Parts: sequence; C-alpha cells; structure tokens
Amino acid sequence: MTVLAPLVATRRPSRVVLALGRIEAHRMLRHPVLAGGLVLSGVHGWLTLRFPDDWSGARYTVAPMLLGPVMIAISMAVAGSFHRERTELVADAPVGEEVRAGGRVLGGLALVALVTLIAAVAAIVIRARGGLDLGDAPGRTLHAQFALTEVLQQPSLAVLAVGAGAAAGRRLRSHGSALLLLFTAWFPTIYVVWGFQGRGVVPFSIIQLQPVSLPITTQAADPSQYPASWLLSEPGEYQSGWMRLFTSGSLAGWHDVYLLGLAALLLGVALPRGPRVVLVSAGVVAAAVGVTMQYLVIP
Amino acid sequence: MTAAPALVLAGATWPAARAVTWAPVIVADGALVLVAALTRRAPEDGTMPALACATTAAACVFALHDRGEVLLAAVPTGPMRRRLHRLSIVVAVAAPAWLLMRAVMPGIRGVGVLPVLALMTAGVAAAVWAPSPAVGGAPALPLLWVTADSVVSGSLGPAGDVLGWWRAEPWIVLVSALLAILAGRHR
Repeated sequence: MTVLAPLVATRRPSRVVLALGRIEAHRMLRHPVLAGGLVLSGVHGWLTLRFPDDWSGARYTVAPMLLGPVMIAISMAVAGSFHRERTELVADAPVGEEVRAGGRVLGGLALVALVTLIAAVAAIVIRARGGLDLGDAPGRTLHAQFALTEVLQQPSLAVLAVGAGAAAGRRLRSHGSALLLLFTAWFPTIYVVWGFQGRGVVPFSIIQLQPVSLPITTQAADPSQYPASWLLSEPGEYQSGWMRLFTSGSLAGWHDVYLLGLAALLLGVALPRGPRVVLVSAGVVAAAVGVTMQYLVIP
Repeated sequence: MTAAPALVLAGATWPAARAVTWAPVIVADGALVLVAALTRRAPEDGTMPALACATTAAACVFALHDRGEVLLAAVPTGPMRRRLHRLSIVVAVAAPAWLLMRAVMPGIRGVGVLPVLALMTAGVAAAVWAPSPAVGGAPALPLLWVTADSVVSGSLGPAGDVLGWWRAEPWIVLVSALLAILAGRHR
C-alpha cells in the first residue's frame, strides 16, 4: 500500500523528519522479515530455557546472541527503506535527501526501541528470578546478573543494524545484493560467535559474549587457592587446565562505544555529503577508542 | 513459419544473460570469500557451509526477477520456460564459481552440491507459487530456512529434523520442490 506523507511546510524540516519518521516506523514495524526475526529469536530463547541445568553458564553466555535474527531483520527492513531512495519518484519529492534520510533513520529508531524494550524486560526477569549460574566450583555463582552496559549491547547492536542496513540499502544499486550482503555479514557474527571469544579478538567481536576465558599461568594444585573473587572454568574437553572467567561491565561499556562508532561510520556512508564527514570521523574515532579501551580493561 | 521454442530460447540466451541481475551472484560470492577468510581460524561447526549454501541459492533465485516480465507477457514463450531459461543461464555461471569456492575455501570444503540445489529449487518453487505481491520474497526462503535450522540445531523434535532436511536429506527437498515446480508449470 502506498502511504503519502502529509504536506508540511518545508521551513520546519524537523516536523517533516518527524512525519516521515512516523511513516517509516510504521512500515518497518510491519515488515514481514521483522516478524520472522522475532519468531526465530523467540524460539531460540525458549530452547535456551530448556538447556540442561548441569551446563553451567550456558544461558548467561548464549543470551547476547538470542536477538541475532532480529538484528538481521532490522538491517533488511532498513535497507528496504533506504533503497527506495533510488526510485524515480524521489526526484519530485518536495524535501531534500537529508530530510528524507533523517526520516528513515528516525523510523529505524523505532526498531531500536523495540529491541531496548525486549532487552530491558529480559534483564528485569533475570534479576527478579535471582540471576543465572556461571562458572565451576569453587569459582561458581548461581546469581550472575548482566551489568547495565551488557544489557545496552542489544540496543547498540540494533543501532549498528540500522547503520548497516542504511549503508547497504543506499549504496548498492541492487536490492537483492544489499540483502545478501547483510545476511552474509550478520550470519557468522551470530552463529560463529564462539570464534570471536578469544582474548585477542574479543574487542573486535560484533556480538560480545562474556565471560572471557583467561588462561591461568600458574596452575594451583587446589583450585580453592585462586582468589575467591574469580569465576573459574574447570579443565575439560576444550582446555587442559583451570581458566579464569572474566566478566566486566567496563569491557561491555567500551564494546558498546565500539559498536556505536561502527554504526556512526556506516550511517555516514549512507547519508548525503553534509553529515557524512562528521559521522564517519566520529565513528572511526569512537570505534578506535572503544577497541583500545577494551584491550586495556582485559587483564 | 514459426521457429521452434528451443531455437527461440537459444537465440534469446545472450539478450537474457545481459538482462539478468548479476549483482546478487557477484556480491554473494565476494562476501562469502571475504567471510571465509576472516573466519578461517574459527571452529568448524557447519555454519560456513550453511551460509554458503543459503546465499548461493538465494542469489540464483534473485536472478529469476525479470524486469521485462510485463512486456514479455505477450510473447508466445511461456513464463515457466522463460524462468527456467534465466535460471539455466545463472546456474551456468554460479555452479563453476561454487565448485571453485568449494575447492579453495577450507570452511566449505566437502559440502555437497545437493544441499545448495535443494535450497535453490525450494526458492524457485516458492517464486512459482507465491501470490504476485509476495514473489519478491521468494529468495528469502533459503535464507530463512537456513537461519531457522541454525537456531533450532535439531533440538525441536520432528520439526527440527524437517528443518535440517536441506542438508541431511536434500533429495527429499529437491524432489518435492521439482514436483511443486512441475505442478505450477502453467503459472
């Protein structure tokens, strides 16, 4: 169905952006791919609840990737919106590309709000239920809670999804190419997420899973000799000795800065020349600072 | 005198090849090579083969989109014949690229041809049977199917098993999709 924007005085571009943003938000929220993403994430969440209880830390570790299908869907919905910038009709639009792009980004923020709501509800439920198990005895807790910055990773990822969708949708001539590029970029970051958990690469990961496993150089004969504040992972199939499980709100916070930097960079690629320089510059700086600070936080 | 349909299609091969939207095939293959290089040290768990099959199949289904569909509706060569003609042109290019990638990329080495064929024919069947406003969504079928399979990972009982048929029992998917295409040959 074609939706026509109400005619508004162009002297007040902010009102036009708001009006366009409302229309774009409605279209994106009703996009079938978003419904598919929500269903898949819901199924994944339900399967996670059925994990065996003897698999310590599984729910805590998997939680950040549960909204992965929603992130793919957000990118695709936003790409569809930005790709409409290539239709011949836009030549006759009464407002410029900057205003139209502002409306599209504003519409994308409705999807960010949806993700924020889901993440907040999940965090509150986990807190109300006393937390999750994490680590192996003697370095084990049954009350692990996500730090605020860990929860904020989800809205940051959603902003990145908006940026990626905007860049691919606006800059690639073929809509199919944009969708395939987004799928190919998101899929491994979600389902090969384990490959980015190592100490050396975790700051560069897109979806950051905590805890980060740190090798303990001097293995104690009795693991209870390790500092009582440490969470531990016992030797097993994937490791020969005890490992320290490092969780940190600061690490998650600087990772959020890195994600928002990448999002600004990609939005800069999508937007017209005016805001492009500012966004790309700010994005590169934020991403670089975010990565550097993460390396400084990891012991 | 009317030319035989096969001759008409043979003569139309070059113009059709020029009209095919090649960008999705090129972008999918390029992105796959890049991702495989970036994740070459990641533990192999079937994710890269799934990604490679899904994007290759979807790219081939994207190529079915015919910008001249309305214009060509009046010609005596039917839509199914034109659809298969375009598909054969795309597969003739995508198949060697797929085999080359399979040979050189460690992540997808050893992946069979049948799973990608199964996903592609399922996408084509969706394009044949989808109501006209939803035809554009047909290439999403391989992507959605593989994502759902990765989410479920065989842990949803019989439904999870069915989601894994594209890789575990590709013959079932392939034959079912071919039958669906055959049944919709006049669409």
